[in-house]
Amino acid sequence: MTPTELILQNTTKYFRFYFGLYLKQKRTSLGMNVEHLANSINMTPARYNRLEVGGIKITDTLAEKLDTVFRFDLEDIYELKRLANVAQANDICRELNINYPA
Amino acid sequence: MIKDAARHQQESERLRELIQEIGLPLRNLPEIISADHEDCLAWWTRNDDKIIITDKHFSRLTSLLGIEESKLLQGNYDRDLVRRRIHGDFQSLPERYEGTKNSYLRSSAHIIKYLRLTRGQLFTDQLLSSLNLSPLVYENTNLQINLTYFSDLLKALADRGFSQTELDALSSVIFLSLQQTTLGQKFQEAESGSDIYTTLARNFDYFDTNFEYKSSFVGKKYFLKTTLPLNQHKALSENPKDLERLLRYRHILLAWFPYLAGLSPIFPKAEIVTTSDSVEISYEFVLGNEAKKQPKLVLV
Repeated sequence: MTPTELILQNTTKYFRFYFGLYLKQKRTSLGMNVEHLANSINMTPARYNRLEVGGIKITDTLAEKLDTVFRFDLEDIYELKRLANVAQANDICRELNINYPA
Repeated sequence: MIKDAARHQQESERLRELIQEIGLPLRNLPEIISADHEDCLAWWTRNDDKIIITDKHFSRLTSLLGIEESKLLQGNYDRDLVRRRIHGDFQSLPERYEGTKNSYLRSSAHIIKYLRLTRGQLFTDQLLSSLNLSPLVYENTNLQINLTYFSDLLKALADRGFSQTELDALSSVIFLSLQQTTLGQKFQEAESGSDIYTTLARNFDYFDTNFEYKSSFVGKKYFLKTTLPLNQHKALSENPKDLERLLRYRHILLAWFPYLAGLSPIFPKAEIVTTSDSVEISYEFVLGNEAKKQPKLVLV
């Protein structure tokens, strides 16, 4: 499985949140600003900003363009997926489990 | 333009003063200046003004030393600590984390891994520096440290805008660091909640010895009583909010151990009794009948 295939399998808002954080840290570590990055993948800066806060559904074309810039690590994407699953389960427990701390 | 030149000149001088003040060997200059050795020496001897000193250079210096930037710039930092760091001792701790060192860095290694993954290396390094720890300190996760550090770490994240939801998530991701260890393997092999908490009860000292732990299994329930002597943790006893944040973290953390075996989390009922010299938390886990191969709440 490739990183982009794994990204496309995960469509929850939890995954998008963590993936957005991951994109931001990758972008800043490369020293790129939002305008520069958005331009390199033919996206408006406003739309790219939404992507970094998990506000955009990731299509296969978008995932591939992002992978070209960031060269995703499969292990990182796998860990993001697990973080997203756990965050989702924690949210469910917060709502439904009376023993979840107030 | 003239104003800018004067400011750059001033910052250049300030950086030189600071390097002299802390006694940084000049061989370390390329790490701070981000130029080759010749250019660095030209800057140092004022023979070349093409290097413009900016905030980034000061940030690199604080990151190299693992010292909070504002303290370094104001001159009210621990000079002995800086000297030890300069000479390669990345494990030296500030005084605040030295007393009652009953925890291990490995207990928070998952938080650091989480931060690197979601916020990046620079953020993580800066966070550790703001706590006066070297960014390299996690290279030895067996290093002992006190409980105040964990409380400060959570507070520093809350101060940097982490929501309560995300802080709760941090308590749930201990698998990030534990799964690759021998103990993590033992948890993975567990077949039920009962196995999980039996393993945990036998290995509390892997994580810390700050608390006194008393465990008992009665039928399908696991009872755990943990007691923290507050007189040994002054910083916590003086800051009830920090203590509350830490106890919430531990409550959620305890619930998520079954996840290491692919089981659903078990949130215990918790009762907290605080006195002037201790805080006692009684947890009651209902272990239920879930065992491996049954439907799981979380699919990995």
